[in-house]
Amino acid sequence: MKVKVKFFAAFRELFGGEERELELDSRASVRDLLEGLCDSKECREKLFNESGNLRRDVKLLRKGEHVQFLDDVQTELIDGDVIVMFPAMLGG
Amino acid sequence: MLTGDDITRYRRQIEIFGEGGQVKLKEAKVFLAGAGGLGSSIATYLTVAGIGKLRIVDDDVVALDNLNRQILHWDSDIGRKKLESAAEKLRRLNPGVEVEVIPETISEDNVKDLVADFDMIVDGMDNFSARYVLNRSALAKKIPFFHGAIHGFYGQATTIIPGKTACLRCIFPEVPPSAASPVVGVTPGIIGCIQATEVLKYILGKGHLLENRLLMWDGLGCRMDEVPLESNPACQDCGGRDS
Repeated sequence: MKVKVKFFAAFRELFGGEERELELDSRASVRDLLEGLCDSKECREKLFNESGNLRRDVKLLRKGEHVQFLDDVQTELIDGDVIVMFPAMLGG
Repeated sequence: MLTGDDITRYRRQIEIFGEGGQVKLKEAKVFLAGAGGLGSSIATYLTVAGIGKLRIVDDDVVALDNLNRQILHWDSDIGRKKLESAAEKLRRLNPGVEVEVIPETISEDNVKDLVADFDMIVDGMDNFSARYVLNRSALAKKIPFFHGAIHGFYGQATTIIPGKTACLRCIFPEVPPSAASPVVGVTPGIIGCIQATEVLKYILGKGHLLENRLLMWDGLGCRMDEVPLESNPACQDCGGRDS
């Protein structure tokens, strides 16, 4: 199945573009998607904390809903899903 | 009522929204949290637009490393309270605006008295613990909350209308602890201007607000994009109900 990720702010620099489409196995999860996006330790460190959980400054939405309120990174994806990834900016 | 000087001072914008619109601005009471990077930009443009009353709350002192972005504070202000510095500049910029400053740290204990009977809250903070306090206050008072935040060349803004849109906690249920963000001064300039634009539109009842839309500014790509938002039924501040 195909899933698209749209990147915003600093994630555009990290992933070198505005969006990417990935071919994933059926029943793949958000974690599978993120693993598929990362090709380096540095990239994984930007997304996951030392416990392997999604970092709190990484926001992922599916149809406007935070995946953390679905099934977090275990959330199952479906063909055609669009995941929005943006950081929590703090500064003022 | 507008004075003759008001009509002259604001002539170029009265051409857009009429004397009636200018009266609405003059009658508005805006609460601004923070007199830093965002706050400088927001306060400057609300002041020149002729907002009636601007209350600013901040507890910080001007430091040398503020000056790349906090344009209300100048080299000669280092060591002064930011509010003294800000109030002085804003009053000189437009003596017709009532600028009121309160040197306090915003908390759950004092936010009710600080926001008092103001019509709206504008976010010029640099941390989410204070933003969450302001978000809850806006929800409780059913007044709009104009959010902005920045990081480097990137920024974001959205307009929260209780009863109509997702609240700040719906959008950012949890965030990392506060940390000094890298920033180039143009970014809070741009985001603060967007927040001030939203405030003016809300008061004037003109245009389309950033409701359920998170505007994302990418200064490196020189792009503005939007993330569509929805209320979160699991939100701990509004429960997704009439947020």
